[in-house]
Amino acid sequence: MSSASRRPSTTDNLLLLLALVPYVLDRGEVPVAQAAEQFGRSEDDIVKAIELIACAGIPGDSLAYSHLDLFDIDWDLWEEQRVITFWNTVAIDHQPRFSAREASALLAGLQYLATHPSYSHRSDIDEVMTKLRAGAGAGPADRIVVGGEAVETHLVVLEEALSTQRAVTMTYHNKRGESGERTIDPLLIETRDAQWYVRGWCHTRQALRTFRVNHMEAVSLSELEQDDHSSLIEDISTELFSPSPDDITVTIECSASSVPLIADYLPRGVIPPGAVDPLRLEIPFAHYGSLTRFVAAHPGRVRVVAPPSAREAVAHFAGNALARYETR
Amino acid sequence: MSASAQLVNPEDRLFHLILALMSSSHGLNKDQILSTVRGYREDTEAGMARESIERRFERDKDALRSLGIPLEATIPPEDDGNNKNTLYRIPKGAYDLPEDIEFTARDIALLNLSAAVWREGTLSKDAQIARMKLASFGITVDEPLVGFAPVISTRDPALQALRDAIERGVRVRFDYLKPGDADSSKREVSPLALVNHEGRWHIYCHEASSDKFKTFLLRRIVSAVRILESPGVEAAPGVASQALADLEKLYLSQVALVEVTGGSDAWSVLTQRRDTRVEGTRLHVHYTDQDIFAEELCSLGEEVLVLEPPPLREAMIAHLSALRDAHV
Repeated sequence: MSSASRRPSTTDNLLLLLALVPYVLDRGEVPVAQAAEQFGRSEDDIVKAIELIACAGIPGDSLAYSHLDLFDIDWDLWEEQRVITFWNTVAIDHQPRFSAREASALLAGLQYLATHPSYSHRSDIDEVMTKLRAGAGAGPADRIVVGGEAVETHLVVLEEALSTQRAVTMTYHNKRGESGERTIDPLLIETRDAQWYVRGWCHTRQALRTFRVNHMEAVSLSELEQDDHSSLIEDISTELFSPSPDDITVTIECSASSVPLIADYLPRGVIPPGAVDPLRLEIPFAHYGSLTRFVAAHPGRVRVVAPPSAREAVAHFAGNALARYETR
Repeated sequence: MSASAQLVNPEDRLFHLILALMSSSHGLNKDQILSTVRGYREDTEAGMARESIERRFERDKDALRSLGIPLEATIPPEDDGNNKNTLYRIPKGAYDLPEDIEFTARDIALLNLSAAVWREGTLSKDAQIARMKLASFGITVDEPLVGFAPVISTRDPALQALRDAIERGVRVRFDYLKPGDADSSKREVSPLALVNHEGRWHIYCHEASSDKFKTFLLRRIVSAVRILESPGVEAAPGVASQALADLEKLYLSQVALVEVTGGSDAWSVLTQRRDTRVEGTRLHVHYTDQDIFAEELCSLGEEVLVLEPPPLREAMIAHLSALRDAHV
């Protein structure tokens, strides 16, 4: 659905025209406000679309547009109450098929959902997949597949907390390398690739925080009921970890060919296009704990240049890990 | 002539083009379209250069096809490839969702959630079109599937090109940095399926030079993917599921024995990997690729000591030494 902040493109507008017709036919009568909500567009956009559709049609036998070959709406109802109803439609009178590309995205998405603990026991996913395959346009629709990585233990507890509006307690290992007891109100469970995250209100920190599920231990359901966080849900931004003014800027060096390998770890827009090889990048880190993890995950590809304290932190981290092998 | 000279806005013209091509049972040739369909007719009558209008028609055809609209072009048998007589149509049967397929409110809710899996990156355009189509069903969806927001990132730049090549059934060429190798090598393959396993995108291919089926990690494709015109190897039915099953088999067959500090972050992370077995302070952990797994373990630092297998242990020592030496 188009976000309100972006100006709708020609494609968005065309898709709206094509979708509005069967939607109104299905419902019979549709107030403008309802259509606006359904399609995530402004009422003005819906009015413009209806005015366009109401005058649209096909060139008839005489190759001129005649009234039988035109859409027609109940104009009185439209003008008096801003309610849409069709008296005549042309060509389009049914929901469109999903193209093979669209179907392949939906099928892979469903397959992925099916691996999740709360969906894996449902037979309706299989049924909808069958319908989707049967109704897809020509072309290969089954060439994308997503394997599941969900480990049930913590997720089951977190989901119960979410649905019963209770808090959970746990031991959490943060990126600084510190561990501690936390009580949180889980508000949203997210997955990003194989990684699971929970957005929640942290009682300890009194703030909205993102937690990585696989860094949690001993998660248990609390007797505490969740506070009302409905105002916060709106604030949950799409960025999982947002930059902070307290971040430390570290200069790193890496070869241009390894940039794709580390791209996901970098804040968006940090890579200068067409730069020299090797690249030098300035990257903000919340603390040296996350820096050492990042550099150690890319041995030989990423080197810290400055500040010297950051270099020492990495050398120290690697030295300690290596010591365990040397003493054996 | 510039686009601003158009008398009818683009979505209006495209909508009328769809209506005309859907209504015609035998199809319309270019002349008929340009002289009768709203948008083209106005520009033709206003004396716009024929060449400009024809170019616009070409772009419009591409635009409709990219939206998954089944626009067919047929050359009547009596004509010897004269494109003036090419007939264009959108068969209603190919456009409409078949009558016998009915989605329930629950189906629509699941499909919306599955489209949301792709809300970022390469597949988001297809997912967004699919969501508009889902909104065209006049069913009241009263089962909001809240509290769970799955996202699979499709930021790998190679993904789009590989998807296009799969759809067209052609070969591609790219430079690949094999895990564990220092330099990339050139590959020419027929891409067959995109597989997301352990949260990573893989492309399952047939390589002509070795006459072997191979799996490549998208993250390690270090050049742009060049789409070739030469036809690729045909895909066997169920190729994507088979490729996923192969990766899964590999994951299950390879096990490392690691000693992990109890109660540490590494303990949380590794015990929550799929199929990890705990034996006192030792863990049996599965992995798909030794070099990639070694890098993951490096980022856990001194909390982890690899005991077996020897090649993984050696890789750890090599990586950690290199990391330390690069930072002292």
